[in-house]
Amino acid sequence: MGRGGSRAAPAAAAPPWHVLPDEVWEHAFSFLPADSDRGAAAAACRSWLRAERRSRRRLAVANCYAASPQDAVDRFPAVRAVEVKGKPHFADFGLVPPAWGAAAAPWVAAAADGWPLVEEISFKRMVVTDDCLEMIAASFRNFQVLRLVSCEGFSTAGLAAIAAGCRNLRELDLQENEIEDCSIHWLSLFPESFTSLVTLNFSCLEGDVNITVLERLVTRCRNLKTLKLNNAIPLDKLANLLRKAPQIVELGTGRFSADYHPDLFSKLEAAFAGCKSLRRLSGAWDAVPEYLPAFYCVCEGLTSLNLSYATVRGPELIKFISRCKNLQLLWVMDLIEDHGLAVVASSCNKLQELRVFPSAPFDAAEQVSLTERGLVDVSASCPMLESVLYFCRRMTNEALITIAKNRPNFTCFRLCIIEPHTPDYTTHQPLDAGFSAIVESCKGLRRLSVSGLLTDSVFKSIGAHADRLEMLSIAFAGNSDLGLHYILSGCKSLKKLEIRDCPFGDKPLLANAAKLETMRSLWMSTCSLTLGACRQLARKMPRLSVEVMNDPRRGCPLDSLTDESPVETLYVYRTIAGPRSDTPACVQIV
Amino acid sequence: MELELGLALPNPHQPLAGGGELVGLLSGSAGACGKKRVFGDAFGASKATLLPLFVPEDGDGGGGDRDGVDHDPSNKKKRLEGWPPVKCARRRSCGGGYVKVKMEGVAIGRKVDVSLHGSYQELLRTLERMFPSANQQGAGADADHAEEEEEVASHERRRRHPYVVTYEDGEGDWLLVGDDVPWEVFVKSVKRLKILA
Repeated sequence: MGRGGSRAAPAAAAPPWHVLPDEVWEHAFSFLPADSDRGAAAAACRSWLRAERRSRRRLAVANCYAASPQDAVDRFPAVRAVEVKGKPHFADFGLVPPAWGAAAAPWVAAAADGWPLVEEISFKRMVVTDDCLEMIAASFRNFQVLRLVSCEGFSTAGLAAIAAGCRNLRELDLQENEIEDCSIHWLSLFPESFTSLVTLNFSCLEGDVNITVLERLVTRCRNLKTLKLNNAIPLDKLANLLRKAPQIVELGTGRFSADYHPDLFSKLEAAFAGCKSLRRLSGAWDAVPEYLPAFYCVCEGLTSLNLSYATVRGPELIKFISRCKNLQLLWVMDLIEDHGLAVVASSCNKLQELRVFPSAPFDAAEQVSLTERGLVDVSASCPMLESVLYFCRRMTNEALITIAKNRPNFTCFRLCIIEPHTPDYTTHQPLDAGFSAIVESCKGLRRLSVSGLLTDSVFKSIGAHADRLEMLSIAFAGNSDLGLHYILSGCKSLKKLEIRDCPFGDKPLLANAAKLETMRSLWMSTCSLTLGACRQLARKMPRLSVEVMNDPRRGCPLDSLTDESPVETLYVYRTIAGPRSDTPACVQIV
Repeated sequence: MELELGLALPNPHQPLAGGGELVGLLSGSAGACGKKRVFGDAFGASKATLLPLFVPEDGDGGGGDRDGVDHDPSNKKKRLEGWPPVKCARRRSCGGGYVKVKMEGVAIGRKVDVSLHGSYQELLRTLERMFPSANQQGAGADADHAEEEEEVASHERRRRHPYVVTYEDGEGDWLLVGDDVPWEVFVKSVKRLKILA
């Protein structure tokens, strides 16, 4: 590009750099992988906004009520992959009223109309009906990926529509959904000519599956990498399937239950020996210990092991895990106990994520010997450990302080001491000091769940130190409004706050109303809120949706209730879509 | 109306280091807001040993009376709703008493924790609340009704428009829910519930 100087003929003036054609910017933006980066680019100026939004291919809507489906389609016309999340997280534990909302239908309808080229749809915690699935099958010619996580409202009839209609389907990933079994042989509806499947996960399906059909499907889909089976597949059939798909990378074994037979053991062992690419393993729900050695040949290659529903315990379990030297992810039941975790600590040095689930969450008595020691050991010996979910029954400040010192690299720390208000069992003090140490040491902490006996002072630490914290879960903690005030006035990066059974009232909520618009959502249940405060909040902050939910047996509709009435559940979220119109009777938007 | 931004002082039994400066900034008023619910105090840190009691605010099914939490005061160890925070699938596999409930003609099934109930009566009450029939007179309007009146009304409703509730037992058989099987036996054997319209 000539820039002045002695040129014989007058050069055409080069356009200023910022007036480049949109296609150039779109190409540049295609190198920005993170949505937040694209968002930042879009905010720079009008032409970048135009270029960015018109070229956005992947869209993640973290709250289905934050914007309307039509808003999304209008703003981002070129989307090929969309993910929408619905109900609040506490819906997983039954705290959200039935028929609360989060219907997928409006999103499917808007996509069918405005995004005909969509290839991927993911829904999490939403109500997806068979009609939705039929519409998906009928509307998108190049549909490839369907991922449903923690959804409900559909049946095997909907799955049949997907199987029959989506000719280019690559992934059917059903995680922890409630699926009604209509006894429809949906698997049979994949045509014989259909071979494109890469991921098939039906582990959450409670019903029989035609195994011959499954075998044929697995055989002809040569690119199948992920196969996660449900309860209906017996062990010997599993071996057959593995022989037909030795290229498998991720396997969910399903039940894995059978009495020990040497013949079956050999068959399994041989089948696994053929799976040289197997890296991720889950299932083994009712596995008997004698079969675990059949897995030995794949242990060294495993990077991910999910035994979180497996009831197997004892030396065979520990021996098996200890052979998995390259594990990055381990999910396991507390049946592994402290001594098992000590072995994990010394064997699995590449561990990045550990989750330990309770085998008997509703029993008061301690049935297994899993304590703070297991977590201390793993934190001490696994330098790459950054994400923990740990259910246990006792904890000490000293253990937490040690963990914090050893592992400043935690990004996710979720500790659930099963009995509410449990203090440090050696000193009987609150666990404030321990959790404070965690937030002071782990500067990159993005997610935190606290439990045990805690006063307001731990929230002072969290508010002051947890600068990168995006999600915080609090239950049965704190002793006054100050606790909530510390959080809302601190925690610079806070996006999601969920609180239950804490003595937090109206004042900190109203004093920090502006903070709520910087967050995605706030959930408070069984706290000390009154309806008047919620009304005030809604008046003060028009861009927030303030939802109040009470027990259906008392006081609906809310219009007749006084300001002093207690509020059982409050759910507040920012939105550009205005108040939604699909609330059930016990949910009101104030 | 001017919003009073005073924050309650922390619990005097648990003095807070540095809590003083915040009170100075905002006009603090000693003691908690007068309208705080009773159990807000119950969860103070000064209690040494606490059982996870879910104390209702008033006599009749306080704000938290979902899924029929047993209010019998002799039952100290009450099950808390949604605690510990484990997903429904895990509850079922851990024998937590969570079973699926489907009503004929209703698309979305529900889940109910049978073990949170003490009797067939309580369970049926919960089911009525979960699946209010068109014939019921607004399940939830009159919180003023005494417990007894509710009972009578509920019996009336059942007589006029009875729900037929069936369950699947451990052997895969579908049976009528009823008093011929002792409650405790029922809780252990029930796998699923279905309500026939």
